Amino acid sequence: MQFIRKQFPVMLAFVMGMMMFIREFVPAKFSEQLYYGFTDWAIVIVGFSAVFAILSLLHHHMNKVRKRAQGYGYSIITILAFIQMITLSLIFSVRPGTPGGWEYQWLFVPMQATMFATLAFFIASAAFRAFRARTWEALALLIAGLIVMIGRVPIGEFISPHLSTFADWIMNNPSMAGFRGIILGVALAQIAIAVRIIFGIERTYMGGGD
Amino acid sequence: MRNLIRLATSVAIALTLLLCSAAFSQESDVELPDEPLAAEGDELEALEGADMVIGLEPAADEPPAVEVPLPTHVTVSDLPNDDGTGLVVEFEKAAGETEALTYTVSVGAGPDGPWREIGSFPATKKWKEEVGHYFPGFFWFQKGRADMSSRFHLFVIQDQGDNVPLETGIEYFVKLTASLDGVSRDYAETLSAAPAEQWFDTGRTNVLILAVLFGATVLYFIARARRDPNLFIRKISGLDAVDEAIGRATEMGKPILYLNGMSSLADLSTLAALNILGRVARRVANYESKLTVPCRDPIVLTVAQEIVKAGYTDAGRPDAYNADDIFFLTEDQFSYAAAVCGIMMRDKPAANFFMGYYYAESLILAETGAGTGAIQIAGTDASTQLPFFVTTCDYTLIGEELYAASAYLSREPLVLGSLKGQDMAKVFMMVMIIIGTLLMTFGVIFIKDLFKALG
Amino acid sequence: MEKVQKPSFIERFLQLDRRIIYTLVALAVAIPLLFPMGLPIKVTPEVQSVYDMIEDLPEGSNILISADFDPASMPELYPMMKSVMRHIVRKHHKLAITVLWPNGPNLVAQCIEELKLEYPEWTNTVDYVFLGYQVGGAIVIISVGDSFSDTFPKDYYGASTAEMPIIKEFNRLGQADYMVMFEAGNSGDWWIVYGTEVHDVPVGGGVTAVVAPMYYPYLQAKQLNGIIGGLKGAAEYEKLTEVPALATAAMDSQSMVHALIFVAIVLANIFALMFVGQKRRQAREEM
Repeated sequence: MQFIRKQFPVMLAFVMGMMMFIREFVPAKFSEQLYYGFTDWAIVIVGFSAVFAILSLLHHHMNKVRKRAQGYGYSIITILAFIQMITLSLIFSVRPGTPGGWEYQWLFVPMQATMFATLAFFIASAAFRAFRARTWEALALLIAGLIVMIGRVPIGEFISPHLSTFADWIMNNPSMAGFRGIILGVALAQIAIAVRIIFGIERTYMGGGD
Repeated sequence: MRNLIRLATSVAIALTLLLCSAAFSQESDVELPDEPLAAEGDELEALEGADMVIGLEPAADEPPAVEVPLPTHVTVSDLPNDDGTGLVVEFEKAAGETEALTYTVSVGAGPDGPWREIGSFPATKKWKEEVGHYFPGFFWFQKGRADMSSRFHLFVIQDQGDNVPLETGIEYFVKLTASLDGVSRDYAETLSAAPAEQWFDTGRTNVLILAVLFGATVLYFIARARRDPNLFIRKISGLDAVDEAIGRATEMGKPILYLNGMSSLADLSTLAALNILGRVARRVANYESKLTVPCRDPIVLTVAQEIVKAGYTDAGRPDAYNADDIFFLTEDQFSYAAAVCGIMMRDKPAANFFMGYYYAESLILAETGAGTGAIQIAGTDASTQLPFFVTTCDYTLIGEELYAASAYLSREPLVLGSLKGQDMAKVFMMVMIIIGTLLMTFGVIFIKDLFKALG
Repeated sequence: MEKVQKPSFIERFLQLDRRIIYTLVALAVAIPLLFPMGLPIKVTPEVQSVYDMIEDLPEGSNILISADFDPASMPELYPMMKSVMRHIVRKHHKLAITVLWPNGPNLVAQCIEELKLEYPEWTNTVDYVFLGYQVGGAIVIISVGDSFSDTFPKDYYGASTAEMPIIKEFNRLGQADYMVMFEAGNSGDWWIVYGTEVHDVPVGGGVTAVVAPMYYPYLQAKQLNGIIGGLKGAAEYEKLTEVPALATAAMDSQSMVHALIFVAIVLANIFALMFVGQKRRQAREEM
């Protein structure tokens, strides 16, 4: 049992990791079939995780209702909304023209769009509160940010065509250079973590202690 | 009378040419014009106003015969570095090649056909260099680079027509046809080859060498760290503030909120976030505070529960662990954000940790948390969300600082060693970028190909 | 008893209640929608590239669209997707549509229904196929490199894909002449790495303004042929297709909000400097 919990996952990670690494350099048909075979399995596994998510959600909220924990009224609404949506979707599907589709279009879409729309307000208040030039570098960053913010919308073009040209230059040069640096660093770090996982040095995915 | 005959002769010749071009053309439908073709402009002017036009004119000169140039040195061979379903046709461009010239490649089971057209391309396209990513090594040291973009054409065949792939080991015959102004000519020889599959992609030799070098560097520094565990790692303020945040929450008697990001366990930033969660759980257990971990992914949930439980056990407080503190919310992005904001507004945690990969909801989460007065520490490799976290959080771990966290917090030699190896690789990349920029500025471009995966 | 000093105007401005800011933003959005200003929209080269690619492809070319967004990103990505799809329909190209986000399919279905009202001759299974959503993300992208019909045995409407006329000609990613991905997240990275680089298909991106900077390195490396970025990009594409719609209407509001935030930040910095100066003067006076 200890072997299944501790050693077997590490061995499996090593074998699978090395197999997928070597596969990248083998163009033969067998390698392709292996690749697509594993991806089919992965789709099945990801699909199963949805079932697990449902059970976990219901368990959490039912516990809250049972214990009359703080905010358990929201849990009742969650459970009822979940049950009715699942029922309608299974009977009628969620395509346009069905009750599920109606709920999607007139409840879900506006709610999601509203949450995203709150970003505009949060950006304004966060920018007002936090964009203060306390150092020379912060001032340079602030000026660049202001130019891009105005240069990328029609009012910038209206004020001066040079604004949009300068904004494009900032996006295509210093901004891209910064992004590239971060992307390169992150990519190397990801390779290092992958090496650690394949060779069993990093075992976080197993949960538990080291 | 003369003009009438002249007009009639012109019309007859024009009609003859039209019918001939229709006969040579394979697919086009010839549409005769609604009105008779007009004579030359001068002749038309002469005809205007006349009651009757009679003319006799010698026949106009025959249009010159179209000479279709043919390519030379045509070869057909197996497509390298593939799964045995490809052939490649290579040829030197025809003398007198013009923009109007088109090449057509056809494939057949035998030397006499039947032929299936695979593809056509104008003579201005399909140069060896632009298609040449199947041909590694040739470009790495600039051999004949100019020729590759202006002298040799290359066409890849990957099906027999009708999307039926080529079969490995079967000999296929290839016909090359050149067409110009509706006139076609076949290349004299019908060539053949059989596709074969390869077991090593030579186009990725450079990738393999770099990957092995990098892996070896990491493993070397891990081995070195075993011998000498005192490897230097620079200060990361966000990680130093973890203890401060937990202590503050304990003093205020409020919970700590920890988010693992919006991505699944397949994402390495989620693994890094779970790593930090383990350390945080151990310290929270020591301080006897409450740790709330709402999860977006069910698999991350199970791993997070195990990690927190192990953290409490390692701290000697297994009884304090409550599995209900680590729970699944929803997989939907903004529903998750709304639920977490609700938790922040109701429970008013004193410390918020945002670790992992985030999308647009990052600002909603961080701004709501800032509104409750919590100390906030974020760590993400989502470069587009970094500005929002930097603006609203007290400390932010940028990009790979998140991945360095496990090494920083644990100071384990193995993990520190891999961090060192990663830094060495970064130094190598920086040196190559500087050298490459200088070389390319002076027109030496082979170094670019050294880092390109060809094929 | 110590006199409580009333905060100065500068201090009150710097601690402005966020609800006032929210109200100003709401007004900046609403007023231009009610009273349009008609600010000019300049087409950028990145958007022009995507347009030119679709415009220059021979009629009947195969184009794949991946609509990887949900209702949250709908305001930005829906108008550009509709504009691009309208262009594709006009050029009589063959279109296959996939969705990698679970809440996305209904949005695409809605777009298709709206376009069918404009172009009733546009026929399902012949001119286009809506493959729908499949769980798996990057795995689905790898899988469509092999076969659409194997990855999506049934389309969104429940019909078998294997027998469709369009699938007989266009059944895998490698057969696409062009691809446009509409991204609200990072699945665009997967399309570029696992999809188009492997199968040699040119790709254009329609992305939200927030993630657009992430895709500029791909544009410069020519791994993307163009980017339609945010609502402005959508407005540019509407201008190119000569059908001004939602995105064009929203441009004035976007400009006003940007201008408001610009003014607020500048004022906040000016007042912050003045406040620091004020504090230093007070400290000197007390000394």
